[in-house]
Amino acid sequence: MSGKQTLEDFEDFFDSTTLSIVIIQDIHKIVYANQTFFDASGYKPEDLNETTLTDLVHEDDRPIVQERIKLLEAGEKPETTMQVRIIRKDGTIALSRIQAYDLIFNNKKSRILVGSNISADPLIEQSPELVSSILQTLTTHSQLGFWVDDINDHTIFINDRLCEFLGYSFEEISEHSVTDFFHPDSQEIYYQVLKERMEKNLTASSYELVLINKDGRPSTFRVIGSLLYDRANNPIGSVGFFTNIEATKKLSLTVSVLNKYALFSRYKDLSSFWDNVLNDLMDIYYAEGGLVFLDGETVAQKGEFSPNFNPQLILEDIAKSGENVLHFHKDFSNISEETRSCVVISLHLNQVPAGFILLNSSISNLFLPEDIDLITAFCSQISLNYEHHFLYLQSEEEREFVSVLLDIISHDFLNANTSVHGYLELLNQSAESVEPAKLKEYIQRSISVVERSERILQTVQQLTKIQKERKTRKLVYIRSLLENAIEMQKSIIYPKLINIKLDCAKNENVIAGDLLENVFENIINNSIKYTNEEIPKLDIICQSVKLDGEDMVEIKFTDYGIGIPDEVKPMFFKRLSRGDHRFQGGSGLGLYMARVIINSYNGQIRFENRVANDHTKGTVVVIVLPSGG
Amino acid sequence: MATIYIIDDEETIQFLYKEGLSLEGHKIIGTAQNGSKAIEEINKLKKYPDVIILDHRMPIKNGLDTLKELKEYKIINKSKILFITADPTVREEAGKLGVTSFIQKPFSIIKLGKMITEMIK
Repeated sequence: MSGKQTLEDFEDFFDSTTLSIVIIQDIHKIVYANQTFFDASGYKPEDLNETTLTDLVHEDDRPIVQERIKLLEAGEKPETTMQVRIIRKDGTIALSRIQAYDLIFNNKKSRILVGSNISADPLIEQSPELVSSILQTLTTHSQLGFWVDDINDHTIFINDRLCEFLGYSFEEISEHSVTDFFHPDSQEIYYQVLKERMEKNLTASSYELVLINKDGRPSTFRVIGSLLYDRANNPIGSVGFFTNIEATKKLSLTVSVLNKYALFSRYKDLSSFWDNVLNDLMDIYYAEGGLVFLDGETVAQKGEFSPNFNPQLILEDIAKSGENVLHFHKDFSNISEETRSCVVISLHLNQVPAGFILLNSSISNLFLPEDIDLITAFCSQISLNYEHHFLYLQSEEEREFVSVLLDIISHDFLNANTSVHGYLELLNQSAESVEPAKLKEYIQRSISVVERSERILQTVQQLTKIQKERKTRKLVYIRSLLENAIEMQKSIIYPKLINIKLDCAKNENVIAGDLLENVFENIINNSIKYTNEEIPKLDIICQSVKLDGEDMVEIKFTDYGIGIPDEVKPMFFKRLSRGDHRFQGGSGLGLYMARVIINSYNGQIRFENRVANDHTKGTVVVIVLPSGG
Repeated sequence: MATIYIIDDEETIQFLYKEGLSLEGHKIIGTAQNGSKAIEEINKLKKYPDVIILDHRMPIKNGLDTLKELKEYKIINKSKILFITADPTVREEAGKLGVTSFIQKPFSIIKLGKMITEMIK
C-alpha cells in the first residue's frame, strides 16, 4: 500500500474478503470498517462514531491493546500481531487474530487492522496443534474427562484423566473408538442418544454411560456430548465431556436401597429379604456373585462357590479379627476359581458377629476402598434393621398380650361383676319375700359367676406363663404328653367313660413347651362335652409332615361329636368365641388360648370336618408343630 | 311397665335382666344370644317390644352390626334401643343410627329398671 492510493481503489476488495478490516487514525479513532467487520460484529457505521478500538475489546484483553497504543504514542513500533477477544454488539465474544500495518489514508497517517475471527473457524481444520494445545490446557487441570472423535469414530484426542481411568496410553486408545470402552448396555444407550440427536436436530445432549477400564472395572460417567461441524455445516466429529459420577451414584443407590428396607421390620415374611438385599448390593457394586450367611446358615446365595468354601470358618475369622471387613488379597481359591475380587462384611446382631455378606467378582480390584466403606455402612444399618424386625415382632406380641389382658378385664370381669352385683342387689331388695328356690338360684348363679372369674384369672396366669415360656422352648415327646392329658380328662369325667384311640410313635417329638399339655386337655375336653354319644369317641393320630420344606409333626384329633358349622369355625380361635351354644358357660378363652399357645411354638391349629361337606358328623382339630428331629 | 327384648350373649346376664327388671314391673318378652336370631324372632312377635336392650360385645355379630339390621328392618322406629357399651366411638356411631339411651357395665339392675320406666314415659 502507498499514500497515493485512495480507499475507493480498495473498497470492493475490502468488502469481498472474509477478513475484517478497520482503519484507525489518531491512534484511537475508527475511520473505516469494511462490510465483513459490520457483518461479523453486528455494529453499524453510526455505532463507531464515538467508539474507540479499545471499547470493542474484551475487558481482560484491553491491557494488550493499551500497551501497544502506548508504544505507538511513544513513536515506537509494536508487534504487528495480536490475539484478542472482540465484543460483538449483542454482547457475545469473538476471538480474533489481528494484524496491524501503518498506511496513509485520506492523506493522513493511519493504521489498518486486519482481523480473522478464529473462534468461528473449525479449529481442527485450521490448526490441529492449536486445538490440541487449547484442549490440553482446558482439560489437564480439570477433573473432567475429555474425548474427541473424528467422523469415523477414531479418537483424535483424549485427556489424561480418561487415560488414567481407563488404564491405557493415548496410543492404545487412539486406535479405538470411544464406544469400544463402553459397557455393552451403554453402547445401546449411546446409539439411542445419537439417533435422538439426529431426529431432533440437537447439537448436544447429556446422558449416562458406563466405561470399562483395562482391569474390567466399570464406572458410571455423566457425559455431555456434542457433534462438531465444519464451515459448511457438515459433521466432522464429536466431542464429549465425561464426569465420573460412580461414587455419587453408588452412594445414592446404597442410601435408596437402605430406605427401601427401612420399613421391612414390619414384614412378617422374611423369606426373600436377604435374596433381595444381595441382589441389590450386587447390582450397585457390579458383583457377579454373593452370599449372605446368618445365624449358622446361608440365607441367600448367587453364583457358584468352591467346594472348600466354608462360611462358618469365614465367620470365625471375622470374630477373631475383631474387624467389620475381612480382606482378601491374592488367594481367592477358597471362594471360587473365577474370583479375582472379594469383599466380606460382617453382620452384627446384639453387637456380636452373627454372619456376613460376601460379594465377589472375576474383575480384579473391583471393590475400591470407598466402596468397602459404603458396603460396611450398609451392612451395619441392615443388621440394625434386622434386629429391629424381631424387636418389632416381640412388641407386637406383647401388645397383643396386653390387649388380651385388657379385653379380659374390660369384658369378662365387667360381665362377672355386673352379674354378681345384680344378684346381690336382688337378694338385698327381696331376700325376705323371695321364694327359697329362687333364693338358692341367685346364690348358685353368683357362685358360678365367681367360679368363672376364677377360671378367667387362671387364664390370665396361663397367658403370663406363655409370655415367659416363649423364650424357653424345648424338645417335647408328644405321646407321653397326650397320655397324661387323656388320663387327666378320664379322671375328671369318671365314672363316665371315653373311648380314645391313640396312634403316636413314642419317639415323635416337637419343639414346644409345658403348656402344650393344656392345649391337648382342652381339645379332649371339648370332644367329651360336645357330643351326643353315650361314650364319646376320639381318635388321635400323630405323623411327620413337610410344611413349606420344614419338618413338622401333625397331630389330628378326630371326634364324632355334634360338629361345628363351617361359617362359625374361624370364630373359635378369635378372642370372643362364645358364639356357639356349645360354649355356653365357658370362659370363651379355651380355643383362643390354644391358638395363642400353638402360635407361640411357631405352629398352626385349624378345624376340619370329619366327613367332608358335612359338619354335623364331627370335627377334626389339626395341630402342626415344628419337629424336634 | 315396658315390654323388653334382650340381646346379650351371656345367659347369666339375661336371667338377671328377667329377675331384676320384673321388680320394676317390666316384662321380658324374648331373649336372644346374637343379633341374627333376635331380628328373626322380633319380626315374628305380634307387637314390637317397647325397649330392646342390646349389648355391643357379642360374638359373630356385634351390637353395632345388629343395630344396622334393626334399622334396616325399621324395628328401630318402633322400639326404643338401650345400647350397652363403654366405647365412645361405638356410642357415636350408634347415636348416628338413632340410639339415644346408653348404659355401660357394670350397672345396678335396680337403677336399670327405673331408667327403662323413664324411657317409656
